[in-house]
Amino acid sequence: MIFEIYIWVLSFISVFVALLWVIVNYTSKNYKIDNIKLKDLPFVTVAVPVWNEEDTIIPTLNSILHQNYPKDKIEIIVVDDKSSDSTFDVVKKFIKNGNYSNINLIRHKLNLGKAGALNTALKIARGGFFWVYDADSISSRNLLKNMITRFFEQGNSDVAAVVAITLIKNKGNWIAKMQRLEYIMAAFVRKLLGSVDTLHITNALSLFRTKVIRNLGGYDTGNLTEDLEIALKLRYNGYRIVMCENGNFHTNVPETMRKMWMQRVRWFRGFIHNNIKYRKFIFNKNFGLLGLFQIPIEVFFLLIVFISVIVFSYHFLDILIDFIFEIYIKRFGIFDFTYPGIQQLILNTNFKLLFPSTVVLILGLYLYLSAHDYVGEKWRFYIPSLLYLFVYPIFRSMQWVHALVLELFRAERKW
Amino acid sequence: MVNVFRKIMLFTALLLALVIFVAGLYAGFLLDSYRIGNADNSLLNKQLDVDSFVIEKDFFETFGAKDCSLLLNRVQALGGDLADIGNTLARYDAKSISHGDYYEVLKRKYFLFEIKTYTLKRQMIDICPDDESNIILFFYNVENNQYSLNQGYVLDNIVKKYKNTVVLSFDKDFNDTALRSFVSYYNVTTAPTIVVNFHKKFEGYTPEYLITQNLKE
Repeated sequence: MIFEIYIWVLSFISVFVALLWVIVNYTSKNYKIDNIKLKDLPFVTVAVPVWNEEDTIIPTLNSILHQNYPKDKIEIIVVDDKSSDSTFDVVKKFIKNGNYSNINLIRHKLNLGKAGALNTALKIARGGFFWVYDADSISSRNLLKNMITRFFEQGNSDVAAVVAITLIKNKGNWIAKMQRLEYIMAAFVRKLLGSVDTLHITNALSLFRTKVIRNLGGYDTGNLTEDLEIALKLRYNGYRIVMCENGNFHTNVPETMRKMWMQRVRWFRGFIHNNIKYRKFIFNKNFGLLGLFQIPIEVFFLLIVFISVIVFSYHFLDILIDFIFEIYIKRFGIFDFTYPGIQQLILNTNFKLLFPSTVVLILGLYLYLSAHDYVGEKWRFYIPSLLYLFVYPIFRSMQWVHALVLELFRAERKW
Repeated sequence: MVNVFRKIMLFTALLLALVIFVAGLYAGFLLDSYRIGNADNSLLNKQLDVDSFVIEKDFFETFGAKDCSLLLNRVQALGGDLADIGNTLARYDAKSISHGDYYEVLKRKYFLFEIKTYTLKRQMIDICPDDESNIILFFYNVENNQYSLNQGYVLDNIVKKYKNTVVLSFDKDFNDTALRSFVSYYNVTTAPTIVVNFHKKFEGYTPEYLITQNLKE
């Protein structure tokens, strides 16, 4: 009975959140503004932190150099965080061969992590805007210009960061395909968050006002998700973050379960750590909807995940034990059952679960299709979609538990 | 203005979620009524079957024209149908969201029919001593019931193998005077407890071979 009530409560929350997103999506406008011409494009520093990126760094640098942006208004700072491969030499050769005077290559004597590398770049950045650019990413040609434009739109003087739509570059195996859907949904959710001014995440390709992040002390070294930390820091200090919806970038995602697992556990540990660090957001009306609704509901969902893992594991174990006994006792007799007629099928339906589940499924499909439409990707129905919808959440829950255990036992925070 | 708009969105979502849930509850309520009607109808038919059997038995006894084969088959069939009704009731009860009291009444009716069937079967032994069928009483426990569940699987197997066997199951803790007397008559203190062919009692989980040793082929 407790399990049934729990499922019911869970279904209600799911229906509520799904409806809320549908309403937000329906009422929000897309900021796909093209051809805004700024008379004076500002000077931008592109910070590229690298660590063992010898295979991906050159396409990344080419992607930056091919931005539709005045060449004299861009400086690139590549910070090699003590790579153990030939990344440093590869970049050095690239600069020499291309005679790129606007690329500055710095090498750390010690490995300081991504935040440390970004701080190094931040110290010497000359641009009024600071574009963080992951070393395995490729962006669309007009992205920088479009991102910059958002800072200058009316009413955006308090915007300190602009984030772009992230899509995946490597779509080879089913693990990557599953993440493709995840990234599409994540981009869509960020758009929805942005439309109600609760966006509090930056990503692998985010553009900042240099002065603002410098004044706030730069990046938190030792933080597992420095991009989330800087975003929360900005929001905490009264700045806004907005999405750039025209243009996107593609990044590499892990292609093995182990790598994906470790990456997600790192993200989730970062989420837990940073939400504790910025716990003053919770139910604080000074932060508007972000403090009163968005962050509390994320923390609440985290609790739900942990409770669900316990409740569902217990229930699953119960069913499994019963099933094993049934097989052991009945042997092949377990397959002797009669198919119910239509009347029995209806009468046996569990409406407590079926009704809200159907509504959530329909709303979820609507959001799923809207997300594809938003990022301009075609919707395809294939096995990874089903895995993403029905199997991946189980793994995700376990990743959350793994992250929580590591945080509780204060495991070393390393990449 | 923007804040008001956001609040409206939140309340609209909450309101719609509530509407959906009320609609779901209403659908569940309607389905429960339908289930109750369906189960009640089955039990009503069963009542008529039992009445019909009693009339038939009385007729044969009064006019001395007993047909043991026919009567034994009838009483056996009564028991078999009851098992199906019991399964249906258990399924409906697990899925119900309302009408809790009705389900209790139906379960009570069901257990009373089982006792009635058991008594009739016992009377038949005196009338037709050559009866080759088996009857098993199964007292189970709803709470903490893995042993009862396992015993149920064993009895399912037996019913499949021994077509001449009927199992009558009782919730040992169900609150009904007749059932309490029945439980007390067999001194049932633990679940599962099994009584084979009126006399042989097994307490606790009982494997198939022990039960079948006491069955008529």
